[in-house]
Amino acid sequence: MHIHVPDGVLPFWLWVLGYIAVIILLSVAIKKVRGEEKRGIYAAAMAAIMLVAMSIPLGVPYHINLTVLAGIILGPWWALISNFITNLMLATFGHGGITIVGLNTIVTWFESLIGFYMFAVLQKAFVRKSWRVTMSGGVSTFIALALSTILVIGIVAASGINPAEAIHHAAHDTEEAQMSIVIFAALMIPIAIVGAVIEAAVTSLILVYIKKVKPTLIPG
Amino acid sequence: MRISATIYLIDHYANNLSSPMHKASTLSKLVSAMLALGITIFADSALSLITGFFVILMFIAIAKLPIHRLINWALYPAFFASLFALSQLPYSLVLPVVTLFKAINAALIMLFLISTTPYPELFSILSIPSKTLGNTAFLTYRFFFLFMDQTAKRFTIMKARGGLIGSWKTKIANLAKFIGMLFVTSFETSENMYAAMKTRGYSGRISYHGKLWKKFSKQDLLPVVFVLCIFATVAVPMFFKAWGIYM
Repeated sequence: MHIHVPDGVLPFWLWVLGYIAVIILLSVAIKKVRGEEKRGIYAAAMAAIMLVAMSIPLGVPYHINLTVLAGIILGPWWALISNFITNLMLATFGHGGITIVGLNTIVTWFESLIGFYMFAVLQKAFVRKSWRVTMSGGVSTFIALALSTILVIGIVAASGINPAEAIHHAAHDTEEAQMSIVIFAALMIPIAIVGAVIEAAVTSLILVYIKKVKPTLIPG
Repeated sequence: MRISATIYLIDHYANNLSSPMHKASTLSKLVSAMLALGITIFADSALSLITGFFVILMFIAIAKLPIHRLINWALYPAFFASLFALSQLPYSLVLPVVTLFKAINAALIMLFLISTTPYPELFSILSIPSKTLGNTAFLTYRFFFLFMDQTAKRFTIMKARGGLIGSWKTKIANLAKFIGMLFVTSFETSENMYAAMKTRGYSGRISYHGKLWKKFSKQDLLPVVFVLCIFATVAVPMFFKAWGIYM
C-alpha cells in the first residue's frame, strides 16, 4: 500500500519529517549492506519487478505492490533501498507526489520489515509442515498489510487533512471526503482487508512457485 | 494507469527527442525543476497557479513534448487532488482551484523534467551520497526494460491461453504463477548480468557519467528562464500579497 496524495496537500512538517526519517534509515541501510554487491543486483531486480507487477491489470481497482515479498527475499535493509527506488521512480510521473516519497518509503518498508520477521518466525513455527511456505507467506503478508493500514491511518490523522482522499481508491465522492478519521478508518479497513487478502494470496502462491523452482531464493 | 507504458514513453521522449531543453545540463534542469516545484507547493493564489500552468505548458511545447499526453498523465494526481478539492468546496471556492492546480503543476514539472532528462542521468545524482543507491537506481532502470519485454510476451501468451478466464481463485492462482515465473526468470537474468559484470571487473560500483551532468552551455539558460517565469508568475504575486500590495 502506498499513499496517493498529490504534491502541495500534506503539511510541510510531515513530508519533511518523512524525508528526514528515510535519509536516516537509508544511511543505516547503506552501512548494513556494504559488501553485499550480489544482493544489490537482486534489490534492483526486485524494484524493477515491483514496477512491472504494478502494471499487471487485475480487473479491480487495486494493484499489487510485492513489498512483503521484497522484505522476505531481500531482507529489511535491501528492501528499504528497493522500496525507495520504486517510490522515487513512481513519483517522477505523478504516481504519488515527489513530496510523499519519504512517507511512502516508510510505509512500504514497514510492510517489508514486518513481512520479513513474520515470515521467519512462522517458518520456524511451521517447520516440517508441507504447507509452511504457503501459510507463512500468506499470513505474514496479511498481517504486514493490516499493520501498514493502521500506520497509513495514523499518518493521515497526523496530517490533519481530510482523510477520505488519501488512500488509493478509497473514496470517490464528496460525501466520503468529509468523513471524520474514525468513519474513514471504518470504511478504509474493509477495503484494505480485501486488498491484503489478494496480495497475501498472490505473495503466498509466488513463494510456493519460487520454493519449487528456485528454493535458494527463500530464506529458511 | 499503465505504469509500464508511461515509463516507456517517458524514456523515449527523454532519449530520442531533441530540443534546447533536452540539451541543457542535468544539473540546471534538476535545480530549476526543484525550485519550480518548491514555488508551486507553497503558492496560495489560484490565478498565479493557473498562469503558472500555462507557463509550464509553454515550456513543454518549447521542449517539443506532446502537451496532451503530459496533461493526460498529470490528470492521475489531479484525480486525487480533485477529491481534496471537492471536500474544500463548502468552505471556499478558491481553495479547491489552488489544490487542483498545485497538484497538476507539480506533476507537470516532474514530467517535464523526466521527459527531457534520461532516467540514468537524473538518478546519477543518487550516486553522490551513496554509490549503492546510484547503482541500484541505474540497474533498476536497466532491468525494468529487460523484464518488461519478457512480461509483455508472456502475459499475452497467458491471456491467449485463457489464463485470466474463470473464477477469481483460478485467476489469482494463474497470476501468481505468472509473477512467480517472472520473478525467477528475472532473478536468473540479473544473476547472469551480475556474472557478466563480474568478469568485466565489477566491484559494486557502476560509473555513470552523464554527458550532460556538469557540462554547461547556452542551452542552460532555458531552465533558468523557466524557473524565473514560474517565480515571476507564481511567487511574486505571493510576495505582493504578503506585503499587502494587491494588483
